[in-house]
Amino acid sequence: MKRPIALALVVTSTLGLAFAAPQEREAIQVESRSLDGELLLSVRANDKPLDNIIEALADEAGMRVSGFDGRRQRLITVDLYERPLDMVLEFTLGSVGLDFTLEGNHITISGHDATDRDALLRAASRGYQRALNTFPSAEAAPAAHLSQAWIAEQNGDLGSAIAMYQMIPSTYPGYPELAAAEFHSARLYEELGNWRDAIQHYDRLAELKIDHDFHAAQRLGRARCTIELGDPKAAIFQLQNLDLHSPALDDDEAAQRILVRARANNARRDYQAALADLDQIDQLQSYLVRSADYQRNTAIALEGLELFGPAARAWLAYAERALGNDRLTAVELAVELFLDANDESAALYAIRFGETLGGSPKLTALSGVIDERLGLVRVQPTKPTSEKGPAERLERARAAWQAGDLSATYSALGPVMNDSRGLIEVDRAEVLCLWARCLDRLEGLDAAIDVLRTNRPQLTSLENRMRLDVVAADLYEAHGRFDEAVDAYGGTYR
Amino acid sequence: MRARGDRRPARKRLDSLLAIIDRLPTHERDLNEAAASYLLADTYKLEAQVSIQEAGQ
Repeated sequence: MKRPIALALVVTSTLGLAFAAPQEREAIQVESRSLDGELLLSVRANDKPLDNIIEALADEAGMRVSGFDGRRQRLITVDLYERPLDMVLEFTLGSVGLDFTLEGNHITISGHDATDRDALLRAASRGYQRALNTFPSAEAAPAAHLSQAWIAEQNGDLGSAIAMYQMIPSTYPGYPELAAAEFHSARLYEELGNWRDAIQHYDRLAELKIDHDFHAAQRLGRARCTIELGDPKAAIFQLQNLDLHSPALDDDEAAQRILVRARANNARRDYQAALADLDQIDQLQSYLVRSADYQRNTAIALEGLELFGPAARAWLAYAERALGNDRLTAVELAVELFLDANDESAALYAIRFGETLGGSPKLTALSGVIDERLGLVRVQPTKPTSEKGPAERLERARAAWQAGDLSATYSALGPVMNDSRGLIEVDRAEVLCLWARCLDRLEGLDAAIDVLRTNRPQLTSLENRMRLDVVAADLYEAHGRFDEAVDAYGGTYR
Repeated sequence: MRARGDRRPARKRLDSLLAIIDRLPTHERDLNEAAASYLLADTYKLEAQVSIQEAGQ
């Protein structure tokens, strides 16, 4: 319901009134009222200078304005009734492509709106949230939930992204966006290594009675999870079924399916079949041959066939493409395989590459093996492993924990948590488990679970992730949170 | 305009519409304000997607 606003402004200008003709200022009508503690502003102005309007609003709200450099003469029209100040400013300034910030009682006008990735994501998220709060039943609302989840994903918050995707089934059942919500939930669970949760959502997607385009992707994702859960034979059957009922639309899609089959064949220890799959991808001239996943599967297959030199080169290729600690682990494998192939010079090359990645105690030790094999006298013998090395610290922490010395455990692990280079993954998992147990005692359950949740995706092997799951479940149980403990065993920490 | 990738002018127009939205009768106002509000957020999201794609190339 609208009503006329007729408050002639008699406020003397503090900033920009001197630039405006008196009749212009008088024609800007502004009034306000407080509702449940929130100030609501009404404004009406036809073709009036922007700065006069903003200053009139600021006067009414008891605020100061700055940042108008050179933009004060633009004429705009506004007609808003009982709106929050930030909304009025957003619409008014946005209509001429300007932005603002509100801090305390100060409004700062800025030259243009969001441009960089993070600012754009923030602006989008703010916009969707406001739209969802105001118009939750609008036709565009389910798609806005998908967008909010996508923004959380871009910000690296996969847990929140899943939670947002999962608001759609409960809030908008039957909407077409439901399929995307289930597919992306499954995909993110897969990325987190929660294969059972991923399968659950892939299955929900398969059961939906609405049209969608995720049929092939759903089956492929389910096959990947089936491999990770230890049933590669079933995964190959699923892939055959997929090809039978939904042939790949192009070579890229075919290559994606074949790569999953190669992974299944590696898991079945049928390395010849895996290599044939990888060769088929190469024949298709797919972009996938440059992917880390392709190189990793190649390395595993070649190593399985005891082709040590080629396997080592494939691990190096993988190390060039992989991220995080996986890179050094791959280089260490490459050096060991070059040594198995009696190719010391290639092993030295791999060690140099590993040094550019920061090196590790294992690489230092392998370097000594190469020197010995080549009969080289070390001019600068390798320093004895420092007592403060990560492996030694872990050993000290382990002993301290067993002796019930919480403080010594915590202080031994601290530096390793900051830099765990040189530890193999199973040791990294143990560090995380002990650290979480310490945090549980010192800072509480939330801090402990947070460490486990954050680091779980960095672990590549399912066994190591499950080690974390067991500790998370154990801690939940110790705090009497049995439902969460059950979820933790499945790889989900709330 | 939005489909062409011309998103800043699109945002200005959407904000210009929203700045006078209370001139419309209640029903039309709600319909238009809802559509414009979601579209406004979409313009930022689409621009972020382009920025992410460009950074990945």
